[in-house]
Amino acid sequence: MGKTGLYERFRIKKVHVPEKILHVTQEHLRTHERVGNEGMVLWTGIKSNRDAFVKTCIHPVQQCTAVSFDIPLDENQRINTLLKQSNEVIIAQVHSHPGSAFHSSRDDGMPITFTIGLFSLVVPNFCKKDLKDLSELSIWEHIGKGNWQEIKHKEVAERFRIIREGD
Amino acid sequence: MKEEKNHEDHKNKIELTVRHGGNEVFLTENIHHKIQHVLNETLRELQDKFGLVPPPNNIPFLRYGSLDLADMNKSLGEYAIPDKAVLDLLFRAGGG
Repeated sequence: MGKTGLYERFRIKKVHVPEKILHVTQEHLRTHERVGNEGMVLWTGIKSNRDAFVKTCIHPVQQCTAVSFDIPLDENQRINTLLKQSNEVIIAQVHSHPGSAFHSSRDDGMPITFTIGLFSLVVPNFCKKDLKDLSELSIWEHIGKGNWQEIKHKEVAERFRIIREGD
Repeated sequence: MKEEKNHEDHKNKIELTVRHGGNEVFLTENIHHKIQHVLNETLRELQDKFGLVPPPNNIPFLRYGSLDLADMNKSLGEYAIPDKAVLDLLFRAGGG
């Protein structure tokens, strides 16, 4: 099966994200913002057919600067253990940038996993603005071999459903 | 003679679980197999079952507990990996 076939087999059409996860993500990214650094969290949950349901926001131990983050291998391994315990998989990684949001070459080449359908969300301005409208982010989808496809702003609402409290 | 060989083959087999990002694959390997072989099998299974397709220039590695199985030419036996061992497949992760 070629990569196009694999993409069609494993791609996620819609990600369901509870609003509470956005709040938790924002709080974690702002702990890094307060010291002038980028930060990263993982959204984990379950996949069912073409849908992914985010259940948990993991804030890994990480080494950060104003323009980078790195996850130590021990922490990467600990995340494997956490996911085994919770029966969840990695759906997305979310990280902040000091200025505009884009996918850097490090973002392309060093995600925590290379599963087709992994989403990478880049939050501008160290997440100083409340995380409510995902179309303000730069969102990318892994399509295989470290290649990423941008989710256009007009597609974001179609691919990401925010579950508001009370829904 | 053939039975002896089968017995020997069976004795040398171990079952492994390899975890990655919440997914798991199960392998049955000969203890004489090199780590490179186990890594290749793991990547093949993870691609087939879960769509893991890394770029060729980002080679992950296997870890058993705190032991990095970094030498691809060493065998499972040389690393003293026991039957039913749980390994982790890890990429060097970061961004910016």
